[in-house]
Amino acid sequence: VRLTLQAGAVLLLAVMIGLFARSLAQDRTTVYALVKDGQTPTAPELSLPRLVGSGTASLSSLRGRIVLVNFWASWCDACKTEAPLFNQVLARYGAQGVRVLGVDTSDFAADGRGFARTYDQRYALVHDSGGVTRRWGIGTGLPVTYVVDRRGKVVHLFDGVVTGNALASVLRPLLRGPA
Amino acid sequence: VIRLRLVFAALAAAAGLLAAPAVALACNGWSEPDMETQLMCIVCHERLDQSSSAFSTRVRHHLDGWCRAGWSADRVRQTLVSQFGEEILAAPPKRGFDLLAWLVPGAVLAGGVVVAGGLASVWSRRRRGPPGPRPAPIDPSLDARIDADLAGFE
Repeated sequence: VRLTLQAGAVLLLAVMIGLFARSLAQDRTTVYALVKDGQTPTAPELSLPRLVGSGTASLSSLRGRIVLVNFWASWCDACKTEAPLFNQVLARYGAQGVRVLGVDTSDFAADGRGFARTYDQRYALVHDSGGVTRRWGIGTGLPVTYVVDRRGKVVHLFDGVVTGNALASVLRPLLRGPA
Repeated sequence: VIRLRLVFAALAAAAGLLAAPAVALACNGWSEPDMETQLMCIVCHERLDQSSSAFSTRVRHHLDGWCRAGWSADRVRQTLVSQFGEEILAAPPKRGFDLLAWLVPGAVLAGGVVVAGGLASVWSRRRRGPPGPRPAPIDPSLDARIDADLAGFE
């Protein structure tokens, strides 16, 4: 009896340690964690329903371009200042292959659509119910913007509001690089 | 007059007490404060009733609208899960893999009781030890002498 009890206790402990290790490993493999760690991981596929209109938009369809993947929500005050900036970026650098993909996350889709109308977001917008955001990671909160280069590597992360100068300093070397 | 006022006051208080649950469950069988305890702020990872984040404020705004529109509690939960995933629920649903979250604590408790019972049984058996030697039978002559001595005392 004692041997069975001991074996059961050891097994239970091993299972608990395994689950804990798995949760730690999952936390460390978000794009957010990897980029914060100084790495330039390959951007995971991102294919989501469009926020406005029908169909889906995907990151893979933008391969070969420089993509700003911006995670935002309608309730996020800081996101209101970013929307006009991304419109300007698209107008200024769009011809050079820069694209913006806005991911409305942690948000009611209807609220997101209202925000898109109010702030006249002219770039591709998708809505995420949580899965993609968990895979990419948003750190302590919105907004978060990833810069994906032409090879599909995540080369930079803006943790918070993006400013025009900061964005330009990241985009310039990427635009000078091989097309 | 004073007695009459007291009676009216008591009646008013009783009516207030009876009306309270009706107000609390004004939303088609659920109340907003109770629903907030069942939901999580998926941004700040606090329970909705304890969170003051912008996300929670937005969810509260929607709860208010759904309450007034007469939505059922199930419809509210399903809508929120479809928008944000099961992460929005404070407690895991009682089905599928999530059922384990409800069963495992009970199983661990039951296992603990079995282990404690088993250990208690092992320890009590060890303390009791083997039975001691039986006392030797008394010599019949000694027995007769004791009887005779005791009779002398009576």
